[in-house]
Amino acid sequence: MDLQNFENLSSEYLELEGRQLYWGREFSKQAIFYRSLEKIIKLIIRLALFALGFYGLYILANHLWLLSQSGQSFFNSAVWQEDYLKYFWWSVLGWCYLFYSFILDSRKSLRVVKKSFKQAAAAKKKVKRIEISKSFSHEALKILDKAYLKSLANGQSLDPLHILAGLFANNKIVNTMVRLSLPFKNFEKVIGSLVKKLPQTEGQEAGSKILKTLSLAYFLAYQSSSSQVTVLDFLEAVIKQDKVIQDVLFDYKVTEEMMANAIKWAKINKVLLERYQRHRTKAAFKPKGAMDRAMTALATPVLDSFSEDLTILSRAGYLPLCIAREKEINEVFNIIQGGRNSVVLTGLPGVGKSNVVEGIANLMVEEEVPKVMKDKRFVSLSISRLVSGAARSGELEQRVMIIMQEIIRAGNIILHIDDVHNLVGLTSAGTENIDLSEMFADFLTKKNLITIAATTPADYIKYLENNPLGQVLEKVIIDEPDDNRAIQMVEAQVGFIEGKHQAFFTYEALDKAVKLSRRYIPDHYLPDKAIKILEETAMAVLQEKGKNQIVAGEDIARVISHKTNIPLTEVSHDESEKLLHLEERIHQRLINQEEAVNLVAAALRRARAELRDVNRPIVNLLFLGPTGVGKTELAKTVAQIYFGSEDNMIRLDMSEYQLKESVNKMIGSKESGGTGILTEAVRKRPFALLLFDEIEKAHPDILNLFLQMMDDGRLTDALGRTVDFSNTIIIGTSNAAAHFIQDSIRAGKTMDEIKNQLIQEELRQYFKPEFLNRFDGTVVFKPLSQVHIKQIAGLLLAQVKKRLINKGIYLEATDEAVEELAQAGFDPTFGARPLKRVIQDRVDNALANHLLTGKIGRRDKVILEKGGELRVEKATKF
Amino acid sequence: MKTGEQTLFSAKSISLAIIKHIFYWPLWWYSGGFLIILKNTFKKIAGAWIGLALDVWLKNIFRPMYGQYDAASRIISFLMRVVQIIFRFIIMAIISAFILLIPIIYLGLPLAAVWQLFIIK
Repeated sequence: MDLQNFENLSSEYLELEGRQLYWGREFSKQAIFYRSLEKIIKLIIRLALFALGFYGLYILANHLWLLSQSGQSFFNSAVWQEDYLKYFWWSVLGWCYLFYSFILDSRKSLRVVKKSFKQAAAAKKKVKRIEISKSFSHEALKILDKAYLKSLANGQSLDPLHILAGLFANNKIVNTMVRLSLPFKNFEKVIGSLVKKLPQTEGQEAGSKILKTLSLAYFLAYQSSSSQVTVLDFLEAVIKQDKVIQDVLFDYKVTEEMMANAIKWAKINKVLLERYQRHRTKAAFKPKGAMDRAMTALATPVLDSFSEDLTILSRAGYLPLCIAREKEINEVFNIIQGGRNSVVLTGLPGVGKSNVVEGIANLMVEEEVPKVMKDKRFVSLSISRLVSGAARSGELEQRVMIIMQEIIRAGNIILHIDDVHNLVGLTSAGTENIDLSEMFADFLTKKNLITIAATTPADYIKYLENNPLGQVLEKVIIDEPDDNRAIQMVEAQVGFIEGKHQAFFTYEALDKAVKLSRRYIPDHYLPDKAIKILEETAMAVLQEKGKNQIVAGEDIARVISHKTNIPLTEVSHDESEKLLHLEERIHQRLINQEEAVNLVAAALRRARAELRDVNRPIVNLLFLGPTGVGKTELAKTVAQIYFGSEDNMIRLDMSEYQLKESVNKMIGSKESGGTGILTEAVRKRPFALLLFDEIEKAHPDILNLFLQMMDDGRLTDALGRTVDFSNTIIIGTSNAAAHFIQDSIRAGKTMDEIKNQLIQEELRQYFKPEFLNRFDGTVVFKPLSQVHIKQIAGLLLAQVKKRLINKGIYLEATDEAVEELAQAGFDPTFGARPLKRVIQDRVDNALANHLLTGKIGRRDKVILEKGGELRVEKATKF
Repeated sequence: MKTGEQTLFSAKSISLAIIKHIFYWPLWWYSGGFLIILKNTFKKIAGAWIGLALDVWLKNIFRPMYGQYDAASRIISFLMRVVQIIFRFIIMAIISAFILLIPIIYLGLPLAAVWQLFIIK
């Protein structure tokens, strides 16, 4: 692009805050040469002037020393006429020039326009023009120049791709790429080849594309309130502009949003540092002790022994910065400014109530608080310290009275009480007076004491809602942050964890820590639980792989998997093999029932490939059929295959829940302490198979309860806790209409016909249509035939064999013997159950007799023959 | 443009820029540069004012110290505050005088150098 072209383009502008933006920096070989020449000349001049300057200072010092030696007065003008002093005066001019030159240079770069929230700016008549290149960092400009020279050498016009290729040389960019777990070398190669493919023409279009990219970079810096346009803004702008680059990144599993967040992360550290430095400067003005600046306060020795001064801690730099809680802090300030002096922060444990309190302490030190809170101390009263050792009757009340007196007389104290609900019901031993909460409530209202308390929502409802103290305190809700905010909070903490465990987190790791812990660790809260997971993972990676390793998303998934026993890591080749052959694996334990097995296997595959709806249980199935055909066995097999063990099955026999009161047993009631059998079991083990045996026997109200569980994947227990069912497989089994199934099969109806008739007619007497509708599949188990029974006999004998191998004995069965067992155990109405009994009676009993009489020893081979005879082949003796 | 012309053009523009740069120096020194120094001076004086908390002392002149609200304490407190304020004003004046030396030196230094180098001899 030559000069003229560029002039056309620079008239293009973008408007921001009522100002026109334009790009005034010239792109041409000679301009770049000129600029680098200027730089070199400047450097030489400056170095020379510095040398001269220091020489001049030396001359002056020497002169002064000579004067003091000779005893002449400094104020005699004659002594200042020495000839060599002119070097000093030249050096003075040199210093002056250096000052001029440096200040002029620093003035050349402009701050990126600040965000203003006023509308008036746009209405100005004369629009100010801003040269945006002055706000670009030196680094960024250098990369831009290099990219231009590169494009010139290639005979192409400058394209965002050139800039991207140039960015790879930058450290910050490399860092960001590592954070995104981009295979850096590969990516660089791909971009390099894309650059080569760019057309050789020099057109205007490309120029405007670059200009758009530059203004976009400026705009991004403006949006994030940065003072300069850095290489990171460049990177983001280039990617946003170029569809091709986006596609390349998408291939590496990096979306535009991920890129934007990773860049934000890189910026957040700078912001934190700036905030910290600001805090330190401002903190220097805050008094160190208990006295305020107006000297009106009083010492509070008793209060001090039961509390901690947060403002002093903050002044000393001990309190962490508070991230992404501006809204809540402003709400607190608004309430206090509005005249209601006392607030209670209500939030679940781990969401960052203490962090909000620390944020307020920091702001108080910076004196950036409402007027009533200025020049005051923020003191955190510890209830446990207050209570401990108060053995005498009335001692506790006395302590509180003294503390309150001190606070009121000092007049510069803002109180913080953590877990304020603990005050409710507190009285000293042997008195049945009013409790401490009422005393506090009284003080807070009468004496206008500013208090910021904290509690959890459950405790608020239980203790504070109907208590005078609760009525004095205005509630401010501290919510669990959403994913994006949680990631921001975690980003602010990650630097510390990285330093401690010498690991390096990728963006995916943070993302997964937040998203997976939200889904799979339901009884803790963000951001705390994500930070804990990150720490644990960093520790694990440090132990396994050593120092300075990258912690990727997979590592996080592995740790959460380990904690919760649910497969979360990406499906490996081995596992996908297994998943594809699930049916065969199930059939190793279960004979016949192809339809049921197929249905379950398909559901498991969907769940593992994450194609299911995550707000419902993994699958809801209804197993119908006569007894002993394998309904429970299939459920057990699924628990073993998907959840790792048969133990991960919660089995409830619904015949125990036939009464209306059973609902309370299921989800708990206030009288029983709140915990229900079902809700508690799932809360403790959210990844399990829920088996409801004989579901038709449950009371209809219980079935109504199940409707919500099966549809939304959640149930609320008596304590108001929501229990998540979205990681369970729900299976109901029923013998209802078993006769109908048997009769129909005998009559030669097809399975589809039977199922339709079941759902349309037969099951209606047991279940409501909406309940039946909730099941993803209704599976009719077929009665077993003689052939199946023989296969099952084989499986059951295999189990016996396994038990015997533990004793060192080998069992074999002849085909006739198995046939005989199958015949004896076959009963069309009872399925495979009689077979179990037959094997027990004929095989196990005989084996037991042989074992006890010593007829079989270790390494012997036992052969089961026709007629239930056991033939022993003795092993060779040594 | 041809290479020869280009070089000529660069040489011309560079020497022009240097001349402009040199002549701008004294102009800037007594206008823009001085403003920067002045702003800085005021910032420093304001910092000293905040550091000495003079506004807080003035605002609270009638408020008794140490939460003692009886008449005697009020009188003692008032006197004490007056003494404090006078004392702090004196410190303030001294600091300000020192800070104000900076712009004066700034204005005089190049003049003194020029005087010494070119005028006396």
